[in-house]
Amino acid sequence: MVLKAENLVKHYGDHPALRGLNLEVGAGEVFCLLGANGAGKTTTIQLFLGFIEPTSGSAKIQGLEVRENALETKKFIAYIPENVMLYPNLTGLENLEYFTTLAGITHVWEAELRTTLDRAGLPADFVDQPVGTYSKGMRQKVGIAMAIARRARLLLLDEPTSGLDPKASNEFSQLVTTLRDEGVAVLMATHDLFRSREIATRIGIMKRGELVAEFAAAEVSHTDLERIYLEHMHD
Amino acid sequence: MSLVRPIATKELQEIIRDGRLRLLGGIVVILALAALAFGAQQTHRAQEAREHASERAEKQWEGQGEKNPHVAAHYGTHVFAPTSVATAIDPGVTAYLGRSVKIEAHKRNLAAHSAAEDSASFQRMGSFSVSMVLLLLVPLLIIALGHGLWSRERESGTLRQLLSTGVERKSLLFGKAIALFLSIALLLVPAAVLVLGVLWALGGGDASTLMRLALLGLGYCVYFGIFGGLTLYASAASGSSRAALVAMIGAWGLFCLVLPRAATEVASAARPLPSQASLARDVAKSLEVGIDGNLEREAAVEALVEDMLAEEGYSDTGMLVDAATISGVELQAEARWEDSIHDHHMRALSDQMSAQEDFVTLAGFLSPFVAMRSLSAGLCGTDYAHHRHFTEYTEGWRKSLVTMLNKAFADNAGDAGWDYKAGPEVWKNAPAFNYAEPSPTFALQVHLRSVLALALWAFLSLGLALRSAQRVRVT
Repeated sequence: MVLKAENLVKHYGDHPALRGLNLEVGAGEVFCLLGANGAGKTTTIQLFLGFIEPTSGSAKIQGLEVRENALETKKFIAYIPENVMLYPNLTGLENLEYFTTLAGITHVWEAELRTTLDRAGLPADFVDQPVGTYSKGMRQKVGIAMAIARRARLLLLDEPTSGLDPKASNEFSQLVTTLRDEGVAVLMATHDLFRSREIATRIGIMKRGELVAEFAAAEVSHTDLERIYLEHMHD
Repeated sequence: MSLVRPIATKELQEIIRDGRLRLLGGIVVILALAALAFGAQQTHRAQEAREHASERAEKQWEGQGEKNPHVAAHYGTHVFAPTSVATAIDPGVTAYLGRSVKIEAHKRNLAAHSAAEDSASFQRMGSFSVSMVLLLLVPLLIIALGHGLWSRERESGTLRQLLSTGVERKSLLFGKAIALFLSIALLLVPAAVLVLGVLWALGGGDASTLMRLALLGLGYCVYFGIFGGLTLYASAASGSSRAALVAMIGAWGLFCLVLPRAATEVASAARPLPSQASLARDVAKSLEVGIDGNLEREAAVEALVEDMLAEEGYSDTGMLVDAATISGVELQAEARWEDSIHDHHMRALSDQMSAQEDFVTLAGFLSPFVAMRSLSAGLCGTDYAHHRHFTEYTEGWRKSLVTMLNKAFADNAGDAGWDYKAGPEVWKNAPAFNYAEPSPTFALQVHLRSVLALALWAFLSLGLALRSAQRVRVT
């Protein structure tokens, strides 16, 4: 397993944000976490990023406990949040080069980086433009390019298509699917039922810090998914 | 840690591209250059005035014609404090201390004719110098450029993106610190080269001056490093960029405006200095009745005359000693008595001033500005310690000049007594006034406490910056 959560618990003071989460994502799998705001999706992703520490339980990446191997585990991860934040005064190429270097991938040829940006779908005439001029969709593409350039084994996506227009959202989903097909494990927190059904191999529904349902995406239709989701939300 | 370089490069790119450096740095550099031009002009003018006055005093002394040596000692001469070329950088307290000393018999005069006395009153409102730009404005520039280095990353969300790459926080801190340092260096190094050129033109190319300037440069690097470290700490620890900016401006005001003033006021209150009038009254009284008020001048001088005659082997010769010799010895005895009184009061005054200085330098442990200001003036040779070094040499020279003249009277007057007149051969034999500025080591020894305070501040700011970098909140 690339990612594994065992009885993962997180409390913010008295408030339980995660209550004993168990979760596994293997290579070439896309696990979509659905749920309302405050269900614990972002907390789960932040625990795997090592930005917060669990109250109890275990979060492992490639068999390594995140809490004890915060830097080591990040070598396997690429993280794309709702808004990929980049340096507005640097160009897309410079941003990509910078983040790739920090991830430990040094001596990357410029041509290779340009190819990566092209593969991620960034228009060529924007590659050397300051990121301050980019649309949100373009910034998300630079985020995908970072994941490609870093050769990440695990993609942690936190509502990455939120606010994107349908075309950009579709392009993004296709890129994720491509990476999945290349063996990358993906954990994606999202509200987008349609995209989940499209790209996920498995889907989980979270409610009040618990995984209340988990099933293979292929087993349900779009309509079934919406019904199941709403049923859990109304409980 | 190998990632420090790309991080520093990127931070520097950002600082340069967003225009802050050009705008703020431009202002600081223009002010520094204006201060340099002003300081160089003042220094050049002071050097010229000193050379001119020294030449005149020397000519007057040697061309004073024939007169009794003791009368010549009464007329006296003037000596002038040297003007260090580094005054162009940091005038220290030189503007408020006298630049010339009247040398005469029976009196130890204080240095007079300070630049502040000679200036129009509006010119005293505040000193504008390169050191003030470096001490006050460069820290503000550091704060302006550095307050958002962590907090802006957090606010914009790039910090989360950065840390998700697995980069060490320590590498990020050092990269940011180096970029901040380089951006300041980018402005100040060309200005420093210009300063060196100007000082060279003013005659400051000797090894001692170069050593002083090198130490000064090192001192300022540490000083800027302290503000850089504190700014990075505030940026990491504060909730927002605005809070970091406000905190650092507050700290700047406390360190650079409030504490220096408070330290000076408390030192003045704790160790008050006598007014010139009361000092003169005390000296006059002591000259008549001794320091403890129990020894009349006449009796004291008489005892000294007896001692001196005994030293010269005249105590048993009785009537064989001529009157001129006795007069000469009496004059020397009087001078000794007066010197002991003057030395006592001047030492007390000097001790009081040193105590004030000591108190103020202690404030360096509360404010890096105070520590660096003291060290800067010390390395530029414009602090009170250098002034005291000069006045002590001058007093030693005065004593040897008066002794030489009284001895010439005693040895050569013979039967002519007070009618004896000496000529240029005696004036030319006056001891040479060869004052040499102390070495840079003197400045370091005098300001060791400031050096220690700066070192402690440097460790503290580095420690705080490192600690806050490890704990910087991601969201």
